[in-house]
This record gives sequence, C-alpha cells and structure tokens, in this order.
Amino acid sequence: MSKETITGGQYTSITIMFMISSSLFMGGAGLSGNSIWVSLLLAITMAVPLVCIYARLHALFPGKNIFDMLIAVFGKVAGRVVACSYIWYSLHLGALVLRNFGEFSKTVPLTATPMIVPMLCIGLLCVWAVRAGIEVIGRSAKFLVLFVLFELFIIQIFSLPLFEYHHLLPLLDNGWNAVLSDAMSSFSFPLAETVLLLGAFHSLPDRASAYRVMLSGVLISGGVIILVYLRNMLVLGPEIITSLYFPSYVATSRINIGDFLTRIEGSSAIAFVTALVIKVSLCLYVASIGIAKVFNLKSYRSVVLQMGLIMVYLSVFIFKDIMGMQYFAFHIYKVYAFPFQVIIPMILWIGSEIVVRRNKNKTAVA
Amino acid sequence: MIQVKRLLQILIVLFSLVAISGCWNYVEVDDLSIVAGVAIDKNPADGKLLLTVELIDTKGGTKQTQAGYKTISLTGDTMFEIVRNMISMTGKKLFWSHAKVIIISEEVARSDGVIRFIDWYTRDTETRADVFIFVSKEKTAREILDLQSTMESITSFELAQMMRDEKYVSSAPTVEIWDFIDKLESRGKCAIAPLVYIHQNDTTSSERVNGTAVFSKDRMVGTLSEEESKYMLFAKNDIKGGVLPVNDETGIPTFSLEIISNETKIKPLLTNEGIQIQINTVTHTGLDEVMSSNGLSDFQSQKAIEQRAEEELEKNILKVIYKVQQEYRSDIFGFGEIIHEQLPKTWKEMDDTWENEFSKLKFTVQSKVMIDNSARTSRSIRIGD
Repeated sequence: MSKETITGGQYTSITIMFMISSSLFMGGAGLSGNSIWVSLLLAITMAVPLVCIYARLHALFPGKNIFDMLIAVFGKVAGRVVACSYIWYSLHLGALVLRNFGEFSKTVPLTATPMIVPMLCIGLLCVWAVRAGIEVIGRSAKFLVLFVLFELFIIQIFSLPLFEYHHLLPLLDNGWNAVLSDAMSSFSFPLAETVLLLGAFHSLPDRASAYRVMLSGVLISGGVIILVYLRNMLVLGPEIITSLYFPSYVATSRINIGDFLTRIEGSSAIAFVTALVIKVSLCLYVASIGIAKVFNLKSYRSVVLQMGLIMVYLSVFIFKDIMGMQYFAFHIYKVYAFPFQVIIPMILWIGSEIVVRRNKNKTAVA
Repeated sequence: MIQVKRLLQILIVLFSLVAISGCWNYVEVDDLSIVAGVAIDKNPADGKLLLTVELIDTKGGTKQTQAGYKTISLTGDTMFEIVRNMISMTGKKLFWSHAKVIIISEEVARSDGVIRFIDWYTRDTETRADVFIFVSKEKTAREILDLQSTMESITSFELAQMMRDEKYVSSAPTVEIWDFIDKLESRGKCAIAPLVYIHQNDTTSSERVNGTAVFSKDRMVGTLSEEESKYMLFAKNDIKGGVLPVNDETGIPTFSLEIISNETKIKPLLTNEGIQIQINTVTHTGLDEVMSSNGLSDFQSQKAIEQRAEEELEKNILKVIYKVQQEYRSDIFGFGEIIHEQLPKTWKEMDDTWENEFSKLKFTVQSKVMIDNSARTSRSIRIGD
C-alpha cells in the first residue's frame, strides 16, 4: 500500500463534517435553556487546548497515527491493549451515529421501513468510501462541506423572520451549574470526538499544519453549531426544545416564505445525512486501521467490509429505542467518553514528550 | 473470470432496478383519504371522545371544478384509536399532512382541558404542527364542519384562509397549534384561541371567526368579544391591521382609522406597591372614512381626532386587561414572561404563585396614534347650497 496523503484543507473539511453531523440534528442537552450558547462557548474554549495537544502529538510523531503512537509510547503489549479500546471507541461511535440516523429515518420520513434498511445503505456506502481510501473521503468531504455550509446558511437566512430575540433573556436563567453541565456535554459530544481524527493523522503531510488544520476545524464547526443551536432556540423557544428529539427538523419545518417556500425540512435533512456519511466513514476507517495495526495486517482494506457490517449490526441492537438513545447521548456518554477523549491522550502526550526526548538524547549521544 | 464479473455487475444493475425504482411503502393518492380538518367533541350519550373529520372528496367529475367534501364521525377512547378506526368507515388510511384546522368544542375545552387531545397531534409524524386551532362557540364542534361554506367548498380550507387574512381584521387571534403548545409550556404566559361561530344569513348559514377563547393552564376559562380581542391584540403587540373607529365630539362613531402599523412596548417597573406594567403603544394609521360633512375641516381637527383615538385606545386596552385579570386570572398577555426576562430576580420569588401575583399587577397605558394620511381626499365632503 503506497502512502496516501490528503491536503490540510481536506482534513479541515473532514473535521468540520465530523463534528457538525449529529449535533445538527440531535440538538444538545437542554439544561441551560436559553443560555446554551454560553455553554457552547465554554465548551469550545475547553476544546481548544485539547485539540492543541492532539496537534502536538502529530508534531512529535509526524506521519504516524494514534495506534502507532500508542505502541511507540506504551510498548508492544500495553500499547496494543489501549489501541484495542480505541478500536472499540471508533466502532461504537460510528454505530451511535448510524443509529441517530436510523432513529431519525424511523421517526420522521420512513416510519414503516425497518431501521436497518437505511442504516445498511449508508453503512455500505461508507464501506465503499473507506475501501477507496482516505483520499476519496478527503476529496468528497471538501466538496460536500461547501454544500452543507451553503445549505445551513440558506436555512439560517430563511429562519430570520421567525427569530424571537426575547428568548435570549434573561441571561443565565438556570444558573451556572446548568451551563457548566451542558458545556461538559457539548465538549464530549461532539467537540472532543476529534480524538478519532488522530487515527488518520498518518495521512497528514505537513508537520506544522496540524495545529492550523485542527484549530480551524474546531472553531469553524463550533461556530456552525452555535449558530444552529441559536437558530433552534430563537425559533422554538427554550421550553419546546427540550421535548423534541430533532429540534432542527422542527425548526426548519416552521419556515414559511410567503406560503410558497414551505415544508423544506425534508431537503434540509440532506445536510445531516451528507455530514453523517463522512463521520461514519472516518469512524470505520479508524477502526479498520486500528485492526490492521494491532494485528500487523498488510492493508486495512481486508477488514473494512467486516467492520462495516459489525458497525451496522451493533447500531441495530445497541439501544432498545430512541428514549434509551437520548438518555445515553446526554447523560452517560460524557462520562463514558472522557477517558478516550482526555485521559488517555493526556497520558499519551506526556509519555511521548518523554519518549521523543529520550530518543533525541540517544541520537545526540550516538 | 471477467465474464463472471460482468455477469455479477449486470445482476447488481438488474437488482437495483427493482429495488430503487419505488419507495418502500409507496401509497397511491387514491388510496388515501385526505383530511382537511378535524373537530373534537364529547359524545353526549356515553361521554366518550367524538371525532369528526372533514375529508376531501377526490372523485369530482370533469364538470366540477371544485372538490367536494364529506364528514365522518366516530367515537372512541383516545384520539389515535379513533383515527385508525376510521379506516373501517372510509376503507382508506387518513392522510393528515394537508389538514388545516382543529376545532375543539367549548364544552370539551372547558371541562377536560386540551392537552388530552392535542398531544397526539403534535407527537404523531403524519400530522403537521402548523394547523390552526379554534374553539367552537356552538354547542358542538362538528356542526361547523358540517356547514356548507360560502366561498370554497371545503369549510376547513375556508377557515384557514380566514386565518391568513385575519391581519386585516384583527378581531381574533391567529393561533397555530405549535404556538398554542408553546404558550402552554411557557411559564408566565397563557394560551388563547380564536372562537368560531355559525353565522345566520337569511336562508343560509356560514361559519364566522370572531372573538377569543381564554385559557388558564389547558382549560378554557372565558371568552373575549370581537372588540375586546382587538384591544387584547394591541396589548400583546400582535396587531397588524384592522380598523380603529373613533367618535366625534358628541360621541357618535364618525371616523375610521385604518391601522397601518403598531408597536407596543411593555416594561415592568418595580414600585413600592408591587410591580407596575407600563404599556406604550405607537400606532400609525390612515384616515379612511369621515362620516360627516364637518368632521375634518383643517389641520387642527386631525389633531383632535388623534387625541380622541388615543384616549379611547388607552381606555379600552385597560378595560380588557382588567377584565382578563379580574375575571379570568389568566396571563394571556405574557406579562409574566416579560417580568421573567427583564426582572429575573423578582420573577424567582413569584414564579410559583404567578396566578396570584398576576391579579395584583398594576397597569398604565400610554397610547400614541398618528394619522399619516387621509387617503385620496383632504377634507370631508362639503354640502353645497
């Protein structure tokens, strides 16, 4: 397998699509009510140093992905064990996102179709994309991100007449605790999920560009998420939002431009599905790469189909229903994901600083 | 090997021809009964729910230009049960996306509360949240759907059309179901809905939307008349048009001001005797009717008309606010929400007892009416000798 590389711009596009996909539709936990934007700002501020750590890892180990780093820092056995947990995490995350889509299609547009049918369609598409390689994912992400952002922008403009700005008052109505709790939620879902992007770092060519790529990705997608949440809040009001599974869908369905442009929520779902394909593809890619690294396979391509099918089946039986899914996403996930997103990367970072320094000293001595 | 591959490719293409060409559960339009509107009553015989739907009759011959309608009723325990059971009467599944109105009978709205009936409507995925909600002032809600409507053949669509043009009348609020639920859920805000009557013409009767049903929580507690509704809309900053009649010096209605635009600003003030709500309205109007020969003679009389209009507006807005406050104790104006937004600390103390606090509020109203034009003529019609 020749080395595949993608440009920084493509990587940023993947980052953006990766982060906005499910939060576009699921909406966030609604503890903080109308101050959701404050908690999002906080979450972005928390995510920036973390993302810098991720980027620093790339600078320490250029051309390596997270699995190489784990093995290099923790040793061959322990590194592989930790790598297995990341394989699980990316597989699980991909399944969660697929399930979001499955529940969406089951609840709203295709109520009588078994959930597995649309999920399998998307899953197979992702398998195809991943087998084609990261270059294909990168190129399509770069093209599709423009489409998604454009569509969001148009919907934002169409929603302007529906905005009720008084919903913003009073600021911090539910107190700081609620805001902090929501900030933690938004930090773990979706901002810090970028840890999985480490799994494709070996395809990033330029040493120095990792900071720029990751930071611009986080800031742009954070901005987009704030705008989308604000739109939903201003259109629907903080009370209604808490009762909805898919607030964006409902907010978009309120759009009525002169009794002519109505019922556009169906087409707005395209943005969600588009971003979702990229996110699931990347999860699948990282999981397959991980398997290949742990078991010393020549190419990850031989396990893509199997992993993809496992992911689809996992997403079918992982939750009993949409209520369970929402409970997991907003209450359990932030605790569950914390080790993957913060603790292990921190240890990895500290460890790799030491390892890299020691190696440098060795070469200097030699 | 290549041939096997080619064969496989052809097979996949053939398979997708079958699989992709149709939707999973595709339904032809003529297998659906399209619902135009729905009325909710209580069956007097057994106290169960009585649902009446107006269906669009899609048959229509070549000569008929308008679609006909049909109404069917059925009783049952829950909304969804009835909706599904209706298939046993129509033979077709009901299609809800084009439904335009929900009419709830006054009896049901007063005694049972409306949450019981509208939850299904907002929860189900086949329905849409942008239907208009009404309360029937007649004995039942179904008799309104049974009416022969005047302009369009389908009563529900005519009602929806009335709501769209309500902004030129301002005699009733325009409430879509999501808006209604929004108000039910909000703290410090109560819901309202327009009333619908049967209006008797000489030989025929038609439906008429007029006045407001006032809710407290999800139960209807009272009504406002056509005129009161207009001033209620003024207080809510929901007025978009309509006519403001003004008396002359002797108290005879003489002038009509057409409302061009209105802006109402509401400000809560903390005073020693509790909270005072200051309401300021600024209304731009056009003078569109002068029913006397000396009503509008010069610039001065325009000022006088403005002043009389202001006084009347202030008086009437206060009247309707006091009526709602004292008789219904229901904060349909959303003053609670405004206090919540602008005086969050004070609101924390009164959140739980808002109904009580609301009845203690004091109000002042300041109105400004401006006559921007007098349409095509500059003065009253003069009577020559």
